[in-house]
Amino acid sequence: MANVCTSCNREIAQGTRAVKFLCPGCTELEIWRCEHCRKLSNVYVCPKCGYTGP
Amino acid sequence: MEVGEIEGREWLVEMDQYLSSGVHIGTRQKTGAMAPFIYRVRPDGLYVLDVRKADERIRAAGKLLAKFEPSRVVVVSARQYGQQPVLKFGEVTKTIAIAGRFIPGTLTNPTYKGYMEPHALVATDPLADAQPVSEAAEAGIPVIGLCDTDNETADIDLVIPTNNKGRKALALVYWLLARQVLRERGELVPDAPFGVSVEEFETKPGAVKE
Repeated sequence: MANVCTSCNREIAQGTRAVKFLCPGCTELEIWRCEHCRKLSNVYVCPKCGYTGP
Repeated sequence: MEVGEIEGREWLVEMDQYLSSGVHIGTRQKTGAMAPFIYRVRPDGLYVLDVRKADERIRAAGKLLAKFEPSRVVVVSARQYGQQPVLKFGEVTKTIAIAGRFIPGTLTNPTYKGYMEPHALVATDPLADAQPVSEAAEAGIPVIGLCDTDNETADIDLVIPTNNKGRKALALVYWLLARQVLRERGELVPDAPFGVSVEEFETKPGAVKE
C-alpha cells in the first residue's frame, strides 16, 4: 500500500523528498509529510493523539 | 491553573528562568508560519513568543529525539552563540554536533569523506543553517528547528519557538533539550539532578565577537 501524506492525504510518490517520523506527541504512529506540505509548512495532525505540528 | 504548572503539568523549569534567559524575546519581524507561537507584540514593536508553547515543544522534541540512536542524530549551529550549546549537547547526549561551517554535501554527497546518513537533524536557526536544512529535506531526514519570530518553517518538521539569537536563551533551550532526551531514554530519573549546569552550555561572554 502506498504511503499517504498526513497533511493532505495524497499518495506519496516514490523518489520524492517526503519524510516520515514518529509523532512527537505519542511516538507511536508514523507521520508522513510530502515534499509539497513540508515546503509550505502545512499543518499535520496525529490521527491517534491529535498532536498538531510543525 | 497554579503557578508553575501548564494545564496540570509541571513546567520543565520555572517560568522565571525562561523569562530571565530571554527565551520569549522575539524580533521585530513576524512570519505567518510563526504567528501561532506569538503571545503578544510589545509597544516597541517587538514580538514576544509564548513560553508555554516552547516548553511543550521542548518536551515533544526530547521525546522524539530519544527514539533515535544517539549516533544518528546531528545537531548543527552556524550561529556563534549556538556553537557551545550544540557542542555540549552533543557531548551530553552522545549525538553528533557540527558547530560552525557546515560543509555542503555532508548529507547528500556519498563521495565526500565526511558524508553521513543521520536519522534526525536539529537546526539552531533555519535561516543560518539553511544548507543542512535543505540537505536534510533532500535526504528525507526529519528536522527539528529552533525558530524565532522571523523564521520561515519550510522543511521544518517540529518547531521549537524560541529566541535563537540570545546566548543565555540558546544555552537554556539546549540544556533543557539534553535533559529531556536523557529522561526519555531512561538514562536520567525524572526529578533527579541533571549534573550539568546551564552555565556549561553557555558561550562565555567576550569569547565571541558578533
